[in-house]
Amino acid sequence: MSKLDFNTVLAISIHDMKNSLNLLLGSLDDLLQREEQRPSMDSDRLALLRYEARRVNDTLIQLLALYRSVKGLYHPYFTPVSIHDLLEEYWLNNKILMDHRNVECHLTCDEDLVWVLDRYLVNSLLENVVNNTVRYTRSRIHMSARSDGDWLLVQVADDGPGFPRSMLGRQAIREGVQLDPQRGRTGLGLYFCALVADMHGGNGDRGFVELSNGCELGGGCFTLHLPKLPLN
Amino acid sequence: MDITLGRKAVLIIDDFQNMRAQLSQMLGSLGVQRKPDVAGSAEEALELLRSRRYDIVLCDYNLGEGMHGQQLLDLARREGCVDVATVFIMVTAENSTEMVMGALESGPDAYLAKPISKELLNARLLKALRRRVPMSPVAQVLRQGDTEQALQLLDTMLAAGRGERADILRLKAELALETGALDLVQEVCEAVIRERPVAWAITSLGQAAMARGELSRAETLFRQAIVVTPYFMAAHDHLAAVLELQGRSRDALEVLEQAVVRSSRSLSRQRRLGWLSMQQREWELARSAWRQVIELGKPMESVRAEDYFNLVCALLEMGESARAAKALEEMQQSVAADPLLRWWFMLGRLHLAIRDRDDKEAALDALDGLMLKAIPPLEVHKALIEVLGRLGEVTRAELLRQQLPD
Repeated sequence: MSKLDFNTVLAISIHDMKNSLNLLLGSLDDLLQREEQRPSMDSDRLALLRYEARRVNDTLIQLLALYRSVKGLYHPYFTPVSIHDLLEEYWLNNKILMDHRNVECHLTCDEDLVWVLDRYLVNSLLENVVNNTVRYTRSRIHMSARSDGDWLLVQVADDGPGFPRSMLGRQAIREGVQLDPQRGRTGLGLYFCALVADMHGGNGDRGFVELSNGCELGGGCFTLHLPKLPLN
Repeated sequence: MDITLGRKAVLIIDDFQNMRAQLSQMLGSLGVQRKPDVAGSAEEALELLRSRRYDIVLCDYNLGEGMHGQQLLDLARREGCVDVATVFIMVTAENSTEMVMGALESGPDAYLAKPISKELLNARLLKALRRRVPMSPVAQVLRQGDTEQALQLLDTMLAAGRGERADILRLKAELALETGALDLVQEVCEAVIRERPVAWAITSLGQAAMARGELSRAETLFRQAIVVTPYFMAAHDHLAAVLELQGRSRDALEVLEQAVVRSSRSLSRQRRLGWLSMQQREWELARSAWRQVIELGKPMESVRAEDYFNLVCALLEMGESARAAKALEEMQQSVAADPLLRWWFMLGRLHLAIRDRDDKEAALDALDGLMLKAIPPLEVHKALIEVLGRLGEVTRAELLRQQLPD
């Protein structure tokens, strides 16, 4: 075979797999909703299937984003985005799964809050974080966002057991955070989040993520910090 | 006030039958009782939109050939078939760059990225309906062209606390600007700004100042609006206009140059930029602006022969004769419906003859033939005199000058 552009191969394959997964996820949502109306043993297994499909989906997105960023092929597209809509969109797209697990989700965000960011990247980050949170929380999730001077803070807090101590603290690419193969998928997810945050930055400040325990709901708390970017 | 989905008239626009069916079914399960109308292209959609009023329009951004969703929305709003009471939701691809903030240009009520979940669709529809439904009586009197009564209705709504206050005030300011009620514009906008300095209110104040001839005050206001919200594009356009009125074309050009970096999709902005950069002899900028005009205007059939002519001029100034000749050819094929086509084509041919002397005699013969049949229209008259001068055709130029109406 002559020169193969692996970036294209990867992009096409992942796009195709994601399409299939989206169909799969859609059907699972339908089934799950129908099962809720006449409870049976199978709804738990359906929910598990859905969770796993979601994970494959997230991993694929990560894989493509990481590959492109390492190869210098990803060019972030920064636009002003309504943060309330972004969080609400994420919540409502995953409501069925949350309902099934009896997880209550609350959203606190000024409807007028607008921030310049790469919508696709931050969406992927949210999928990663929230899907994880739905898994580990006991009964509640609180998604919130606010601006603090020249920074946007997006927080996902839960009432689960919290993060392991070794993961706590600030995770910033510029401060030398690297991919830890020992941590397996969790490490990859965290590295991905730190990378997404880091892609948001100009000449000065760059974004970072922070993990802590014992926030408002008593469990784990993930915080994304993004600096204010000039629009272009 | 009926903000349930039950009896709403819905139009779904998508070039894929599967997607239309899926959305239709989803709406059914959300309680929409009347089967939605569907359109597979922008043309079909416009036909339906013109024939009846819809409460909700769900439109895919990417409609294949022809217009895209935003162009369709612009056109439908201009024609009034999407009005202040119509909910318009744009469906986009997952990783799309089309999802721009509503404030950026006159955007839709919401964007929905595929894959769409029923919950999200429901939430976005209800939120938009809560804003739009109370506007129905206003939309109705506006359809009859009764701005006076629309303003009265808006005041009644404000007094009764009905509808979204911010939307009502904004529409009030818009209508007041349209009718030239500048005092009212000022009253509304200043009240809004006292609560919170928002870009649209500051911009409308600027427009009122401009209409009163207070140009430097208008300039300050437009600049203020841009500081508050850098992507509020209307402020950029008005700022450029007020700078031009002050004779500061260079500054106006700079403003527009930055504005198209933020948002390149406005046809009128690109046209303005094209004119200004030709005036300032910035040919590269002019070339790219006229190319954009042609590309943006094509699907909406709003490209003029003159746009092509300007592109030809910019290309010639840059020494790209071959490309200029090609652009001229394209003019003849693409804008066949423009009544001024033969004149702009003639002008382009004469400009090309300045470099390519071989065609000069044939081009002049063609011009004589054309002039035998008709007097050159006003739009091209001066340009003809100019190009004849540059070709050294002093007598022909002088003859034309004598024909120039006062």
